[in-house]
Amino acid sequence: MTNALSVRALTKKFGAKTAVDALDLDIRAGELYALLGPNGAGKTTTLRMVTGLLKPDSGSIHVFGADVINDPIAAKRQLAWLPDEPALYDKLTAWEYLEFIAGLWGVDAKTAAPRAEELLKFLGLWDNRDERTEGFSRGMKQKTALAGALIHDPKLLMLDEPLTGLDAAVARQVKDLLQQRVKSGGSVILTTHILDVAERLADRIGIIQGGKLLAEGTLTELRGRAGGDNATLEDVYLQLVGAGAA
Amino acid sequence: MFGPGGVLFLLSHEMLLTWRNFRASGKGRHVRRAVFYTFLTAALGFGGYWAARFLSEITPEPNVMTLGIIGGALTILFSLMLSQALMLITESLYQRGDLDLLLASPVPLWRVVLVRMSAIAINVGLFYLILVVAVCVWLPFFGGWAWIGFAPAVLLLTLFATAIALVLARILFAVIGPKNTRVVAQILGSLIGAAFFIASQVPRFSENESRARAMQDIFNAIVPVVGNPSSPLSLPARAAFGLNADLAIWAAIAVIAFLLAVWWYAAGFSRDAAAIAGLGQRRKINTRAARAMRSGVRATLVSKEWRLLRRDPLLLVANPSAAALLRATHGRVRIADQRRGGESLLLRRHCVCVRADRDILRGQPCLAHRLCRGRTRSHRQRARLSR
Repeated sequence: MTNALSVRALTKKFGAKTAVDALDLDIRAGELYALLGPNGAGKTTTLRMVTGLLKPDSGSIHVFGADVINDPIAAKRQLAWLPDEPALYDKLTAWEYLEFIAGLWGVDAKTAAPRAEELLKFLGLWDNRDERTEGFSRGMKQKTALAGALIHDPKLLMLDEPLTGLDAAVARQVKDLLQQRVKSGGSVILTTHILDVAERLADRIGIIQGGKLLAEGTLTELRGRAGGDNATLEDVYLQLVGAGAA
Repeated sequence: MFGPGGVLFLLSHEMLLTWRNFRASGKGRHVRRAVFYTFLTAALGFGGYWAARFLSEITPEPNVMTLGIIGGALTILFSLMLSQALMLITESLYQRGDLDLLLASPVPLWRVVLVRMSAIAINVGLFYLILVVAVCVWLPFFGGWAWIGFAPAVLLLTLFATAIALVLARILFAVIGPKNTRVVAQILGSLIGAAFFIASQVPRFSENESRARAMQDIFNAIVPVVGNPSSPLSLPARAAFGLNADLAIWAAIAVIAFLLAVWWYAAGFSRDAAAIAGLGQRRKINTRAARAMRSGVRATLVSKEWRLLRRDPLLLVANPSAAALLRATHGRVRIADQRRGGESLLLRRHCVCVRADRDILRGQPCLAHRLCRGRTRSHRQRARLSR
């Protein structure tokens, strides 16, 4: 079975600093993968290279078999990217925003409309669909951006810190949506600092530091590495990251 | 081209945003706005009517004088358009936050750049085009068909100015880097835009006789260049004389220049956009404030106060002692003044500009305990006095 994402020997340097260092990563189709790591570990840089926003210095990236570097359009059609601070158009309404995003991915209005309705209703934004996003709260903006990321029904959804700054109710809605997405066969990669979220949602977890993957596996596998069945993800994380930093 | 993600789809999105931003920028009630636009339309209508009537009485002959005057007017327009386009191009990279969204989508990069630059060209040319069209709509009524080419000539001038601005922006990015490009492009844009105004003011500083001579010299210098019928520089002016071969050549040059510039600009667009997002190479910051930051709490505070005073000189009026205190404290104050609650005094001296930052400073680990000690001491003194 083709992997949702295959990254091989991916390297990116900014001047003298190596942000991503010969990274190998495989995300299976239909799984939720959490990428954890301290600030500056290379999580966002990796995701930005997968989306084609940054050109890697070396290595290869394949999204469902499509080469991101040589055939970016085919790869981009299959993925969606939600940055930690998504850019919405202030002067567009939520509905217009979704129409525009659907258009960018080549989805015609007739197909996009029922999908947009479903997403907005699920996220509790249906009543606000004709309001301009300039008046939205952070949570509403985040939900609108998430709906935008899902409007073209991507096979691989990548989210960078999707729960930062959201209140509990909104965070729950986002988590429910991600779980529903995975149940229906979609693949999700998320980076987060909230270890609890990774612990509860992720099928597999990768811990990255200094641009290198320190450890990867299910929670049980990671616990095994940390040498304790009762260890929490926080224990495992701190143990690995502490060792990595040392 | 017409479907979702096509050029027209993206262009209509850009135009919608431009229109909504334009509407949001206008303040005032609907009635006031309606009156303003009615007045503007009427003014354009009447102005266009009289201008068209005047022009129709002149038979356009492509001689040096006529070509020179039209060419001069187009050169002024070109400089204004170039200035505006340069500013809009840098703004489109630095201020619009949607680049990540567009570049992460499956829309080809050249299409994103083409649409964005076309929107800039439309933004730049729209004002001038409205003025020209206001005249051109009346021309057929007075038999002034010969002047009808002025509208397409101005439209093409917009494309050409945007192309040159794109090339300039790309060169600036390559030579001085994305961080400096913004400032330099704004300065350059302002200078180009103001060039003719500045040039026209130069003779004012000389005496009357020499002023007239200077004006004559400028006129004599410009007219033969842009008015020479065989010179390529007079092509836009010749194109403005009507629907002729010169207009076709001018159209071909402007469109090809625009497309080539877009293609060249697109080649480095994603790299430049990434660099602007702060993901490119980073230099060590070595400003005075950064040096002060590295050299301790007191230097940081003094540096902060100076910066606030520089940015808002009104603080000096609000607190007349600010300058004197800062001068006294800058590099001379010693923390050793323990007997009179020296540290809290030091903190007070350093916070003359903004009282509200006390909370931030209290949270600062080095100063928090000093401030508390100073406070406790002054409380004790007050208690002693009250007894």
